[in-house]
Amino acid sequence: MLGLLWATDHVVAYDNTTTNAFWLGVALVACGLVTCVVAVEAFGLLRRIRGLRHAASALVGVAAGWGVFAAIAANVPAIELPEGELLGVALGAGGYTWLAVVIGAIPLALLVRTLSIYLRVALRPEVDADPDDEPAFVSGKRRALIVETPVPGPVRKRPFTTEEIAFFDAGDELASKS
Amino acid sequence: MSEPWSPPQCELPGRASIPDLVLSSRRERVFLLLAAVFVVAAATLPLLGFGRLFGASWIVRELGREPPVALLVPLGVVAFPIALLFLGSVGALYGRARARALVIAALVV
Repeated sequence: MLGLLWATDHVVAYDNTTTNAFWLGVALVACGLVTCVVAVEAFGLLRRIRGLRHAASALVGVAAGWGVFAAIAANVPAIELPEGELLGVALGAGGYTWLAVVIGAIPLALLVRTLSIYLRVALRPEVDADPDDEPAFVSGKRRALIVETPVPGPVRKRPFTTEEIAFFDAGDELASKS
Repeated sequence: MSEPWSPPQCELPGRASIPDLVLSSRRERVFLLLAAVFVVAAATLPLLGFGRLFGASWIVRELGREPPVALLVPLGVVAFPIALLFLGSVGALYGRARARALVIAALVV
């Protein structure tokens, strides 16, 4: 895609209406890439806030992505965006993206829940599978769920007494007679 | 620890377990659909790019505030939230390994 954008900038006798398409494309690809990578990693790290995971990870991703876009657009001279317009694009596009993700997160949660049943996927395997995830201090609400099971102590071993040995011998004798 | 490419089958109360072959086929078909939507929505970002700019300051004014600058939304960004949402659903259903692979695939496109 970037190759196509580069080609449109370098076609001989082109009317130049899309000049700088390549560098704007580079800035947008970098923005999209950073947004997605940061959102994926944040989504994995934010396991505790299950209900707000989409919104929180998208917020972090969008902020990083459009920050990268603004940094590239401000430092590449080929991109001729006025400074006010650049800030407006970064804030407007970032805000729109985040708002749309927050609104879309509700139907998406329903879709994911339905698909998790169809695909037999546990939606919270990471929390259950990680033994190091236990907090050092447990709140009162969670403490009520913890059931203390008594740990069996070591079994005390002792030799048989004389009476017990005599009892066993009598039993063996009876068994041999019958 | 490396994350699994496909999560193990979750036993649901009142529902019979599915044979591995059927489940694998089901999961791959759904993944392909989610991945296709993600790639198309992500590709519109550089493809449509700044073809047109929409004003978005009115949203902030509706909330009773004056934006510091004129807020603009490029045409290419319109479908980008769909990409983020579908990427999130892949991450939730299939794990981070697949979500990362999907981002790399979209970058190649």
